Amino acid sequence: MAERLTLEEVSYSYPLPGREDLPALDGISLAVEPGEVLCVAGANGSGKSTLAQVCAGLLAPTAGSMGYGGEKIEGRRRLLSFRRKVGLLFQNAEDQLFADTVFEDVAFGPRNHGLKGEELETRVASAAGHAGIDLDELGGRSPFSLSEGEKRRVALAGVLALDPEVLVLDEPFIGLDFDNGERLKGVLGAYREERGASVVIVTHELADAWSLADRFVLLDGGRCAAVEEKSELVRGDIELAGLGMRLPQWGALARGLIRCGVAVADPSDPVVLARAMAERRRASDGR
Amino acid sequence: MVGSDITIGQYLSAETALHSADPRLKIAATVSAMILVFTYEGWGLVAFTGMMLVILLAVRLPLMPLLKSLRAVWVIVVLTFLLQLFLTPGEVLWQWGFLSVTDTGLMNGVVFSARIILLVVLLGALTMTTPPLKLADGMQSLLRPLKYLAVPVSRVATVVSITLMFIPNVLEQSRKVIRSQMARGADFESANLLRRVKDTVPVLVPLFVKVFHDSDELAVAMYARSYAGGEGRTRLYPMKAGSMEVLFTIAFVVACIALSFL
Ligand SMILES: Nc1ncnc2c1ncn2[C@@H]1O[C@H](COP(=O)(O)OP(=O)(O)OP(=O)(O)O)[C@@H](O)[C@H]1O
Ligand SMILES: [Mg+2]
Repeated sequence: MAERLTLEEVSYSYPLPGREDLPALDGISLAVEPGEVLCVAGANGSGKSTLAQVCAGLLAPTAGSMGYGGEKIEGRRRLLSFRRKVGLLFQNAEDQLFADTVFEDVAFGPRNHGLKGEELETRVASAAGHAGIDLDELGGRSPFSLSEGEKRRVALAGVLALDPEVLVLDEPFIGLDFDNGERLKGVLGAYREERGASVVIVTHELADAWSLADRFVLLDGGRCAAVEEKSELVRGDIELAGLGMRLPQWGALARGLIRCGVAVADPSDPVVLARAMAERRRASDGR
Repeated sequence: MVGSDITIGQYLSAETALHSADPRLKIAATVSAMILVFTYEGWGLVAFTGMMLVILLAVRLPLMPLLKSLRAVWVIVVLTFLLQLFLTPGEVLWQWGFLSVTDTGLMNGVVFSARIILLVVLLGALTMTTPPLKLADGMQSLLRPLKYLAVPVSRVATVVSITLMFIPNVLEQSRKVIRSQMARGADFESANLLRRVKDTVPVLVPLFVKVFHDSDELAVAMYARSYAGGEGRTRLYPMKAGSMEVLFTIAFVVACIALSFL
């Protein structure tokens, strides 16, 4: 199968009353493939969240076109069915939560998809489980009475419950403790494997998506500065500091090793890096 | 996007002469004009509309947002026009079954709906050019004499200003709830009106919850910064009316009064 979600020369400007529109995205072209994890990275205000909302069909591009599964997204019907395929985790959990109880909030999406009774309960329970939410404990509480990290997990459960083909997560790791962050990484990896889903991780910190992502879209002032693979980022083809980002520590280590003439297979795996270092030591000892 | 076209009551930051004018003068001028508009007939209305246009164009206030705020009241305007048109007795101009249009009806229809439009434009021009806090400051200052009648003027002003401040907040919150529900399969753009009405109920309930929640947080934030009632609070920018502004306001009010004799 070809690409799943495609954007062609997509631009978006926010309308401001009484003033000129504010351009937030400018001519973005990209394709999200089935089963890939794509990282969208950029500095504050570079347009990441705007791009996420465009990808989820919430903001209609002011120029350019979008396609899904090879078909152009045109007209209301296509737009609706497209929205059903994509799940968006909002950057701010409070913007996403609205229901009286945690259970109802997670169940809102599946209900709209026509799920009822036992099927609904199973879906909600499984989504909550993946997101690390204990429904027995939190299910009946108001989402607004939860801690920040709990809110984020409930919001995540609400998106997972949609069972989307494309999962777009806007800064999913912010505010999660180490355990929950690692759990989320595990859940996203597994979701991609089992469901064949595409995952788009939006972040300003490359380290968050380093181990998961296959490709990195780097945004700069609403434009796409580059689309790179991990190896290209490590090689230093593009200056990250100018884009308000930095290479994660494993990546910097890999870069150092490569500069010393050591081949590194996977710049996100500490074991690989340790082996490469040992090899390097052996080589220099032997000399 | 859904809900983003409601602009009535929203402050629009810009640098026009109306923006920098003293809020007390603006309030006084607007209130006098709003009262006097009810006394205008025919030529008075035409002249007043012309005068407003000249003023708004002269200070370069963007007219589009002002006109957009009319969208919120168009139903009322049209209803007023139709009711006046058909239900006023007078010389019959046109008859169709039991419906008849009279000359007085036509005249009244135009006059009444023009008055509503002018009221909205006046109020819109005031709120567009005056941030809620300044509006409240101005009101508080104008109402100060009532203090001697034991009216808690500063508290009333604070309540009013917070309420005004919350209008954009409520709009923003409703947009957020709609966006979140849309992202999870709700259909707000359905051509089916019934479905659309049905879908607004799940928006309104969480909207109230969120707004209450926000106002609660605001109260905590205000107390955390030692707010203890508006009495005796000083201002960062004391209000000062320039002599030109005063002159203009007087000229405006006098003109408004004169027009009611037309
Ligand atoms: N609702 C809005 N109305 C008007 N302008 C907006 C709105 N949301 C964002 N913008 C503007 O669009 C630009 C891109 O914003 P966006 O939220 O997409 O950035 P971001 O990359 O997600 O930033 P951050 O890392 O801070 O989340 C910014 O200049 C911002 O000011
Ligand atoms: Mg963002």
